[in-house]
Amino acid sequence: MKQIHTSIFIVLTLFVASALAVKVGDSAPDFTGTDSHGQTHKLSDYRGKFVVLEWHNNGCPFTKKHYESGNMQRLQKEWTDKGVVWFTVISSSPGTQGYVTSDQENDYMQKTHAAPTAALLDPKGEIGHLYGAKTTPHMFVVNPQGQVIYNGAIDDKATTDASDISNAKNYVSDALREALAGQPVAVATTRPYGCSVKYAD
Amino acid sequence: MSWGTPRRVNRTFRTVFAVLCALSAALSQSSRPQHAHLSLILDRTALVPTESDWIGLRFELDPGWHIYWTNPGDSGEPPKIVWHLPVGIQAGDLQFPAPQRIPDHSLIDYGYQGSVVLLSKLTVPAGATSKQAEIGADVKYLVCREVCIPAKDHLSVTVPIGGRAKAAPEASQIQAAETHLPRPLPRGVRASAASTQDGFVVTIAGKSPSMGQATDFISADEQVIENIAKPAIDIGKDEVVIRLKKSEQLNHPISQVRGLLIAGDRAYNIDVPVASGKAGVQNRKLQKKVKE
Repeated sequence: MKQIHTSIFIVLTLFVASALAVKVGDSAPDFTGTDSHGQTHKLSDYRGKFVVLEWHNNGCPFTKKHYESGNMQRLQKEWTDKGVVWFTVISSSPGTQGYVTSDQENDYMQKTHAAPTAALLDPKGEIGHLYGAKTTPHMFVVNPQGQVIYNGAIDDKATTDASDISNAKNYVSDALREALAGQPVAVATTRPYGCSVKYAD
Repeated sequence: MSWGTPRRVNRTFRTVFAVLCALSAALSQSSRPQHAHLSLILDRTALVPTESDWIGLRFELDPGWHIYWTNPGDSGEPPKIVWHLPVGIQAGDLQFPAPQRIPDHSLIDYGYQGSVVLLSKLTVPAGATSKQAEIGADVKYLVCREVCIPAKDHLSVTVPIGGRAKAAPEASQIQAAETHLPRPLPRGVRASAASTQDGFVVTIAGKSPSMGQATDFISADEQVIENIAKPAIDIGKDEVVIRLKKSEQLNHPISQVRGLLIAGDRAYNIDVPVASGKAGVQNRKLQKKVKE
């Protein structure tokens, strides 16, 4: 009996472990998140649109590189203007760097002129763990059929230096541009770079 | 009471807190290094024309803080250096000693805690006429402990050229750093690698006492090996077999497996071509037969 339990446990563990790693081509795990205005968003309600998920921590120097330079806001504006849904996801647990209340996040977005569709507050790390988000920023792109078509870094310059942005190849924009043109995404999986997501351990 | 209602007290505290936060943010953004003290150290008291000397970039880190190796692992960024050298003097690439595995939430980083010396070889040309050289360095690095802080520092050291060169006071630190630099595999020991469905098998063949102490393999390349999956190492009589898990981000075949084999307090450079699937296994079988 004990053995059966052990093997069930192992099978479950394997299942959970494989569920954690969202791979390009997989259907995007569905979730319902609450944004900084208290509104809920269900990913599957956005079928028919491209969705970008951006893991965020306002104190992380890799995130700051893209916000203080205005790069992230530019991307948010450019792609939401084209009908793409953009969720900023904050999975920092209470007491860790990047954790924010709704008010703090709304202040931050106003000050930095951030323009995502919504900022989802995920202090328990549920959405983060569902996608296996590793770093801030860590980016995912979901296509209108609900498939993950990009998983990885925001660009190819894994630094905290804003002067690297102008020479960087932006993987998210490339993926969206290619997918919108009906082409396959050339670089669909990359190593996400940044700070560790501050999950509750 | 000038403090007024509890709500006003709360607001006052919040304002004070906000000012403190802003102040600490301003401090952490200044170029003054935080949580790390950097210095340049030399192995001899003078540079000698036509000879080369180690120069060390030493980081002394506050408890719990770390900096990164050339492959930082799942997060982080390695330090970068720009040398400012008198005409003719050259500095070689920065050489990094073997790193430690540093757990960071659900990730694994590769880097250093405590103190570490990164090394570079300085060479002085034959016709050097100046009496002394000012060696300058601009260093940019990321230092982390739960949170990460980008920092930069300018360092310089002035050293005589020519004359009698004796061991400098820091020579022992340079020597210690040198022993921790990755080295070639011992003579008579050879590495080979094969690709499997979900990983790589690196086989180290040949008798060497140090190979029996193998405990870890750390990939030199990002995005090749799953950092969180510690390699499985089987130590045989005259063969060490290392099984590595492929990174989820690796979506193309690689031609070389590159990394460090950690054995005892030494690190060995591994840079071997990957035999694909069956061919690799057959090769290893053949090698075994030859040995038998």
